[in-house]
Order: sequence, then structure tokens, then C-alpha cells
Amino acid sequence: MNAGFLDTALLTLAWLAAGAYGVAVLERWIVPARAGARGVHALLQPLSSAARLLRAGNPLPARPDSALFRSAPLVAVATVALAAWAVPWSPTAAVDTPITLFFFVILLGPFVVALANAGWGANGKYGLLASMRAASHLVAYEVVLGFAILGPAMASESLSLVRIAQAQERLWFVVWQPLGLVLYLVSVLFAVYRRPFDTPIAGSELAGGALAEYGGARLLLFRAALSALLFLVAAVGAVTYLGGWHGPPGVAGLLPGSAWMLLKTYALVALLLWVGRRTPRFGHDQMLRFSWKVVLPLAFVNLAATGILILVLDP
Amino acid sequence: MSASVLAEWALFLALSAVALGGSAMMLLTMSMYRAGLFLMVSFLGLAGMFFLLQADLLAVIQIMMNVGGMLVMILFMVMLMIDPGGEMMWDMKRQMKLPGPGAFSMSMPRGAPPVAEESAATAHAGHAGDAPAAPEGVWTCPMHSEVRSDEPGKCPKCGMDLVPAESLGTGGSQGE
Repeated sequence: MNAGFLDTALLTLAWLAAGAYGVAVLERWIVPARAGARGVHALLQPLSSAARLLRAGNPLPARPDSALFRSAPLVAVATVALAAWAVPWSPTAAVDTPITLFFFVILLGPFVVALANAGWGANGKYGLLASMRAASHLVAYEVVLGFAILGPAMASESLSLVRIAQAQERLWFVVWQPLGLVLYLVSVLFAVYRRPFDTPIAGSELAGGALAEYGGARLLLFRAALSALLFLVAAVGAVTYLGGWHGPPGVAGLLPGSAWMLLKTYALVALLLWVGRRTPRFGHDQMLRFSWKVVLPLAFVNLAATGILILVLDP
Repeated sequence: MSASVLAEWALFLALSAVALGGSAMMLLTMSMYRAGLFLMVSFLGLAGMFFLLQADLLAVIQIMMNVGGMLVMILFMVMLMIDPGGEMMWDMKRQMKLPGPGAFSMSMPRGAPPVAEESAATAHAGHAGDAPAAPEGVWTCPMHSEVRSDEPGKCPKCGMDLVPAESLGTGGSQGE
């Protein structure tokens, strides 16, 4: 491969790490269960947590499926990095393929494989249960997420994230598809294993689930990948429903496009974390039922309404 | 041959190796979980070939169908393999401790099967709690039920005459 490929890869990893760091700071501000420093001290606290994990060694459980156990954090990070490639931060710094949106949604799938492998490889009962939960998680969110993002795709007549952002220059999709944004946020809460849908890695229920046996650098990688995933889905939410790099009308000129994008992304991250803080955790069966019987029908309703609105509003 | 053609060939061969190797390993591994994963890897190799053919959408659909499909398959296998009465064939699915390629061999794990599995199997074969039925023409000592013989004779422990095992009402219970 050429040098451009390597540059892109390193740059992607770097901004992904920065984004995940921001998520970790926000998490300390918003979710009180993450005990530790408050206020400005939280700005540096993820660093000390990371340093502590790096110095802690890499314990292995008894009789693990070693290959799966060791590779799972790497698979998680690789998946997130591949998905990150699809996110357009500004019209110039964007990879534009006709199917970027689809590509992004599909690439959330291998992350589930990483979690399932982690749980299975740990050779413990918590891990085994977590592995099963992660696998059933996938079907529950992928269908719903797929339908939740169809609204913007229909309105912009494209699956390219760049085209979707461009189509919102005058009017953000959230203005006339508010239900779509809500559905998107709910389904990504499934996909990134945040409360209230974090059953595969739930701390108080499964002692950490798939991550129960992890420690040290591997745990750090997994946590970073989970934070980066939250960052990414928020970024894609900003592109699909909040206009991407277009600022609000009137004040759009105050900041460059990528700054608006970053602002919206972190606003969505904060919203998701706040929802997680305010909602009690769903049981796994309740979660599946909620996904299939409530969110999916609503997604169909949203799809029909969006189609009708497109026919009525557009010439 | 230009460099890009060469690179394309190398990529094609590597992806073929992934696809073929994945499917071969799926057949050869003893772990059901790993078999599912290898099938997934094999199909990901195919998805890579679609990318190489510049059929992006097909490639992504391939990833979606197979990652999701194999995970669901694995889910069902895990659910079916878990024996509610015990850890049935625990070692077969979990113990992949054989070093290197040995972990992928066709041989069953060595050593005695777990006790729980054995008793579960016999209870099943004997239909609800019957002690193991004595085969035809087995002779045993009324006092020492562990003594078994194919023909009548004296018990080596106490010298009593051996009797047919069926004649003992309990079917030669082990008494333990």
C-alpha cells in the first residue's frame, strides 16, 4: 500500500482516541456512578485511569480460549477504526462512497462478534451468558437501526453520508423527522452497550459480563473502543439528522464546519449519557421485547410518515 | 505486469486463502463456537473478493448477512449445547488447550469424560433410575455383587456358588 493509506489509518486512530477521551471526560461529568474526580479534575482523570490499567498487567483467566480471548479487544478496536473511516467531518475531509451509511451500520456488527468472543473465550459463566446476550443483541438492534436511518436516506435519495449532509443545507432532517432521530438514538443505545441496554457488559448484573475477566491493557482497549463507538454513532447521528457540518441558520458563519460537527457530536454524546443516567437498566428479555415490539413498529410508522412528507413537501 | 496488477493478484490470492482456509478450519475444528467463527471468516474473505471486484454493495451485504447469520447460529448452538442438567461435553467445546495446530485437530480430548456426563448418560440409557441391567448369562455372587462371571462357579472371595444375576431381585445392585 502507499503512504497515503498509512497516514489515513494513523490519523483516524488519533482522532478516534481523542474523541473517546472526550467521551470519557463527559462520562465522568454526567454519570455519577463513575466515581472519581469531579469538575476540572475530570479532564485529566481518564489519563490516570489509563495509566493505572497499563501498569496493572494482563491477567488471563483459568483455561481460556486463548486465541479468542486475546484477539477480542483488537477486533473491537479494528472494527471501530474501520467504521470511523466512513464519518465525514467536513465536506473536504470525507471519504465519499455511494454506500457509506450502510457501510457504517454493517460495521457495527463485528463489534458484537468481538464482545461475544470475549465472553466465550473467558471460559466462565458470566462470560458465557454475556456472549449469548451479545449475540441476541445484534439482531435486536441491527434491524431497528437499519430502519431508523432510512428516513434521511430517503429524503436525500442517497446512502452516502456526504450527500445526506449536503441535502440538509437549508433544513435539518430533525425538524421534520423528529421521531427518526429518537428512534436512531434508542437503537444506537442498543448498539453501543450503554445504559439502559448494557446487559452484555452490565456491572451489577453480570459482574462486567463479557469484560469480567479482562484487566490491564486489554480492558483499556475494550473501554476505549466502547467510548469511541459512542463517539462515532453520535457523529453519524449529527450527520444524518442534525445537518452535519452545517451550522444553525444565522450563526453558521461563526465556526468552521468541522467545529459545528464536533459540537453536535458531543451534544448527542451528552444526551445519550444523560438518558442512560436517568433510565433504569432493561432486563435482557425486556430489552428484546422493547426492540421488536415497540421500536420496530414505530420505525415503520416513521418510514411511512417520512415517505408521505417527501411526497407532499417536494415537487 | 504492472505493480497494481501484481498487487491485485496478491490480494486476490490472500483473500482466496482466507476463504478456503476458513472453510477448511470450520470442518476441522472440534469447537462448535470456533466452527461458526471460521465460517464467518471464510465469508469475510468472499466479501473481500467482492470489494476487489468493485462490487461494494454486494460485499457489505455479504458482511451483514454472514456476521449476523453466523452469530445467530452460534447463539443457537450455545443455547442447545448448554445442558441444563450439567456441563455436557464441557471439555469438547471449551478445552482448546492443545498447543498450536493441535487445538484444531479432529481428535477428541483425551482423559476420562466428566463424571456428570457419564451418570447422565447411563441414567438415560437405563430409563429412569434402573441400575445397569446385567447382560444375558451373567453369574454373580449373592454376597459380593462386584464379582461377575460368564459361567457358573465359585466366588473367588467367599467360595459360595455363583447364581444368575437375574435371580437377584435388584439386578445385582452395587450396594453403594
